[in-house]
Amino acid sequence: MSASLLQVVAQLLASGHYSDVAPQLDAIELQTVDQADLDHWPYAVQLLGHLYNSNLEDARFVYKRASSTHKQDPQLKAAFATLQHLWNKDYQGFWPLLTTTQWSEVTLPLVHAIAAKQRQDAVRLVSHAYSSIQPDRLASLTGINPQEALQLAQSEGWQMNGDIITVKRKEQPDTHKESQDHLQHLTEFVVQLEV
Amino acid sequence: MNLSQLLHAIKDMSSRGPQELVQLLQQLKVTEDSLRNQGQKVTEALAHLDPARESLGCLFFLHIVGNIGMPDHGSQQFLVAATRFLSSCDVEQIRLAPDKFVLLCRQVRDHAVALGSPKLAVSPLKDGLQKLAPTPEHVTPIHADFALSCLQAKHYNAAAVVLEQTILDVEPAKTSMKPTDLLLYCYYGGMIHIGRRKYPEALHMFVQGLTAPTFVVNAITIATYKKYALVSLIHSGSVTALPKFTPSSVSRFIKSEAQSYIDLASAYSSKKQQDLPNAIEKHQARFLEDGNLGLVKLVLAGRTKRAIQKLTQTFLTLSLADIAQQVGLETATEAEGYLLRMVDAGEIFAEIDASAGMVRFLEDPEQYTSTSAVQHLNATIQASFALAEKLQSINTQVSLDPAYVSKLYAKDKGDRFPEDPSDFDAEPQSLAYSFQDG
Repeated sequence: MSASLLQVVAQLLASGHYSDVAPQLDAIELQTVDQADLDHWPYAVQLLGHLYNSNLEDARFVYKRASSTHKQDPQLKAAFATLQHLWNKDYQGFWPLLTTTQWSEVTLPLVHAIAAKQRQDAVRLVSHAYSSIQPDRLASLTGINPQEALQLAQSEGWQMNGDIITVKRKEQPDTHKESQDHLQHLTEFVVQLEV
Repeated sequence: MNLSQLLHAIKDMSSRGPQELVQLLQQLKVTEDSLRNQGQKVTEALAHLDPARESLGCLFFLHIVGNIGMPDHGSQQFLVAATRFLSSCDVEQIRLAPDKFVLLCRQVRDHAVALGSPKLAVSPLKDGLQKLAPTPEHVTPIHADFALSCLQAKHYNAAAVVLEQTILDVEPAKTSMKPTDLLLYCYYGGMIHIGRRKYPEALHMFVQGLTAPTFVVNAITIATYKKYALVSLIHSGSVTALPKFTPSSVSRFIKSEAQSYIDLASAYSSKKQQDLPNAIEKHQARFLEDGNLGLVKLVLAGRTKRAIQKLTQTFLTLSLADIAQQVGLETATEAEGYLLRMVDAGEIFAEIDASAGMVRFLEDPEQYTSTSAVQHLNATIQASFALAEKLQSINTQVSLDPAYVSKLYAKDKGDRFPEDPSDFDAEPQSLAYSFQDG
């Protein structure tokens, strides 16, 4: 990678603005003609960036654009396998892959961020889809061991009934906007409809 | 006029008024043919021109340079020059020669493909279409080339911003638009949406292409219908009927040209499980040839999902084992996995009771009373109002069109007797047809 490209990637990752990584790399990729840059293009980082933004489709196209040589890179292979698990919503297969892969220094922060997001999503999904769930199942869906799963359940306010955890859906508090705004909108609608 | 004289004329007239520009355009058109053989000299002359101030001259010269060596060899030099031109050219000048501008954009795409790097055409073509279109709601031939470049470069999301823009206007006089350009844009645009799994948007683009008024049917239209049918099956489980204003020629041709797809659709909704796989196998060669085998496989995969969704209409609770058996899955665990995925995607509302192995089907909990629902409703209403205003302005435009008014008057003339002399002095507006009165 040319010095400037390396810098850009490092800066983005260091700043913690992971959601910007993929769009920025996409834009730069469209303009890049230098063969040296293309040979060392950070496809793995770009793919993971799209995964962080939950853009599975765009991540898939990053992989499609990579040449067969690039596809040999173990980082890209691992990133693509991660995509496949997320694409198929294979929640259980996702976690072992994450922990067993040797992620590079560059990709590691992104992977951690994706894992954190995925764990949150898994908890939300369980609260919507289950009225009761075994601790083992909860553990495999969230990528933690059963002990931690029990702790997680407690922190979410879920009850333990013998072996089974009773799941309760968290009520989302609604943000109420000023009723003034509502009146304003209603008035505008009525005026326009009468015209 | 020789090249150096022409160069002088370009430099001189480009910064004067619009009349001089029209004269310059004429001169360029006249000398174009003689310059075609002087490729090298034109390339050198091009270096002396400023794309921002002498856009018209640049356009013609670039077009000549772009033809050198094509279609075999792409030129990196041309591509760089054209990219710079497209990002900095003067909008007023290039709109005087839309057909030439469109040809240049096509050359950019051809060169990028010949160089083996279609992505290099993506940004320049985006600039090009934004410069040529009189408003963002106008469609240009460059839209189709741009979408094709994004497809070839596999940079599907680069097209997102352009595709999100609703197309409301077509003006062939200003944009050199041809019917095939619109059909191609709808087709390629739909394909990009399919790649990004935005099925409702894809269906919308396909319908736009299928309902374009026409008497003859294009191969593009048939291909569009095939994809439309498959995406409709994937998205909603049935092929939604085309709107009433679809041209009758299109409806007729669909029956004869897309028979395999119609068979597939009826096999999908058949009660017998095996009908669909059989139909797919029977028409496999056709699907492969059309490049639609991937979509067909998605159709098949989607059927299990539909079957589970249908269960919610009959049952309130069901055991995981029963679900698996009804839907044709192997184990209860498999069914649980399926259900979890569907809940995640918002395709079903259900609660799994792991202790009893039972599933309870729920109603959609959306009450439409939350702030986000109200905001969404607000936005949709505003959009409807904007569309109604646009429709009203188009209606007024048509009513004031002299051709329309004369036809209307000729029709009325037969009914009215004797003639009312005051009508001859009447303003067009008072004769204009109005929706409210009609």
